[in-house]
Amino acid sequence: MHGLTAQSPNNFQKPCLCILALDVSGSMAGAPITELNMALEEFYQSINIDDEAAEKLEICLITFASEVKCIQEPAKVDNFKMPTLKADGLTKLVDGIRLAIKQVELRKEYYKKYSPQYSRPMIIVFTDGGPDEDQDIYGLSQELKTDMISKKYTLHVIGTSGFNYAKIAEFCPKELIYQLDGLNYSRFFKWLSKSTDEISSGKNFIDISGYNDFMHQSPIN
Amino acid sequence: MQDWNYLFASVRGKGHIEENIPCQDYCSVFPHTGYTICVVSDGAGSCENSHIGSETVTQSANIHFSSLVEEKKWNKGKKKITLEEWQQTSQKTLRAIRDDLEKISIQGYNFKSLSCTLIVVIQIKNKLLVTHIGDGRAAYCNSNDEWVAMLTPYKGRYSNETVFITSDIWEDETSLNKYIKSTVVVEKIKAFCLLTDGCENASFECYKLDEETQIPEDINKPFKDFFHENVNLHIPNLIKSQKSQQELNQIWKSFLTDGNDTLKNESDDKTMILAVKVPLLES
Repeated sequence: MHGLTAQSPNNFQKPCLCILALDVSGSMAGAPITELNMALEEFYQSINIDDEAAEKLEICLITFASEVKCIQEPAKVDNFKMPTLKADGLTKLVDGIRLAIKQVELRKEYYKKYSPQYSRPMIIVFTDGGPDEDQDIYGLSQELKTDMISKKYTLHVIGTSGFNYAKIAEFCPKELIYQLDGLNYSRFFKWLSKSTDEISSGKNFIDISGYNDFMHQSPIN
Repeated sequence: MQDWNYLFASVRGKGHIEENIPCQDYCSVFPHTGYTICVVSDGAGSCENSHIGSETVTQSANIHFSSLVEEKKWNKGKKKITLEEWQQTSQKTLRAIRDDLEKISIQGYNFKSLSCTLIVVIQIKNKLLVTHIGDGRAAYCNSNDEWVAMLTPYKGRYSNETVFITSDIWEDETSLNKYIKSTVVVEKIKAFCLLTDGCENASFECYKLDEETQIPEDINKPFKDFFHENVNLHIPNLIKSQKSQQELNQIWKSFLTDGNDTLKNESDDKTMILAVKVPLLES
């Protein structure tokens, strides 16, 4: 027993933006979209019961298929309900990432006005395929390169079985591409809910303990 | 008669324990004749050798700042220490510490991998000489029991971003004046503290919502309820029970580890030096 006592103040938590860009194209229909929906709901609940995470984490949801939509503007978990996703259409993945980047810029403008400091925003992209042929892969690769150097956000791409690793590697640095084992979205989101501080500090997933229990950096054939 | 007593420790944060990485903070208190040098340093989380950097600059700060005090004879006589003189000489001394770190890098460590912040407080007679590079906090308690911040941390765009002693800030005077801040406190002081940012949520009001505008701001205000009972009751009792410095530091280490929920749940490494003036024991 040290015999010392102290009270601490309630400090405002610095906001941390987590953008999930989710593939809801036709190929995700069936088990993949069911598993993803269940995992998102679990993620929502785990943040909701963690006071510190609930106070600082702002979640933004973007879906991409034939259309790209921001289905949830950045918000803390007590300000929205996790939606149920439906799968249909093509894979406008590049446009989905571009919309995520746009959301980062908009939110940073808001933070600059209203917050003395904020964590680096993170974008996590989920796909079971790759971008459609008509998507501007080269343009995105150039944009990402510049943004990564200036540390505008962190970005990781998570693929599930059969995703087009080669196509994604055309715009995204290989060390930021991961493949889930099976449809293990649930494990991923459990891990994510504990790892947001480290991801926003700029760490790659590979440098955060526990990542390799459910995903790998190189594609599984 | 009263004498200064010091409690100082660095402990690993929850995040570093879970990831099995060493404590990247370092601190020490160096007593000299007529003055005491207190140093805390926070190694950059993303730099693999920053724990070596933080220890090196702490030891080096003692060597260079003690040379400065003795060369200027600040610890003798009643020579006035002006703010201007302290600002100029502390900048030069910090550069010498930075150069020591560069010498270590010549021995095989990448210079930037040693990145760390630095806060130095020299307690000398009724004064505190304060200088720092980067983030962290420091404060003193005056005779009215008011706690007052004595430095403003440099914070970057994102949380956990700051400037380090290894940063490219040494080339021009504008940078030096922007990133190195020094001050002199002349007041009747009964306690003071210096800490790395791992302790700031527990002991400072950092980010508060303005009630009118609902906009959060860093008010940099020491939280009196963190210090008050410890400084006025518990620590004087420990001193009266004649604990050794090692025992005091062990108690302090235990307190910083899990003294309350905020300390217990902090993921970053935690370092704090707390200095308290306590009546001298009768022999």
